[in-house]
Amino acid sequence: MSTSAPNVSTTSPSIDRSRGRVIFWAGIGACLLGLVLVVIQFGLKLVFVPWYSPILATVGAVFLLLSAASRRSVARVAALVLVTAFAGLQWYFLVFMMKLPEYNGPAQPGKRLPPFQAMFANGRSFTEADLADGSRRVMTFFRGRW
Amino acid sequence: MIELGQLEAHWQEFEKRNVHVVVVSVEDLEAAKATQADFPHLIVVSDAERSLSGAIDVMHPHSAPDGSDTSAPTTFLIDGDGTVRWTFRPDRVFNRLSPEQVLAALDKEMPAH
Repeated sequence: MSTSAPNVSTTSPSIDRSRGRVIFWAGIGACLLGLVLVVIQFGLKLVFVPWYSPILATVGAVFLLLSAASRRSVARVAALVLVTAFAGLQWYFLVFMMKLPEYNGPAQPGKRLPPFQAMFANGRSFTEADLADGSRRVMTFFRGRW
Repeated sequence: MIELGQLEAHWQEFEKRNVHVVVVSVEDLEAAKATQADFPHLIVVSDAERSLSGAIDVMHPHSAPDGSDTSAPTTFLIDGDGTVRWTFRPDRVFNRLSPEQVLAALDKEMPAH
């Protein structure tokens, strides 16, 4: 009489649950690291495009994908969806929303500025005639005090 | 406004070159006064009517946090005759010229005679 061995998994439940856990937290950490670095960057008043943030979020999404592939759970899939959406939002924001049009206005090298009338902070009028007083100037347009 | 603080911090470099730094926004006169108080070595201009920003086409529609128009960060070097010598606009809103880059452009594009 022959007996067939029962099909029993040799993996314990705790080992099964921990599968991919390190890479899961690495994914979350990569995403959060991008945010922390952005806060530090602007806290240090460094003005450049924080490309590293969407890159880190994308790396985080890949880690979370690997984690979810190794063991699927609601938490892992939810984290994957959220971080992927966050990475996509950042890419969209930096690539499209923050893009400035190239300057093609009339103030090109070799030309004078068209007539205008603005005001110095002391209330005195500022016109194109003030620019021809012999002083060299850097004129910078900024977005505002906010 | 980070760039204003950086330009202010380098005011002596601009003064050494006998160059005025004029900073313009479309905010009203009260805001310009506050900005002038914050950055006393810069020359702050209020272009609330958008006469200047409109004339040289630096407006950036719907780009302010409240969805209104504001000026795109753009820099011009203008000589003593009022002639533009150099223009710069970054490719992204977050990017700005550093004071060192402005000074380098001044020395290259509009050196003192």
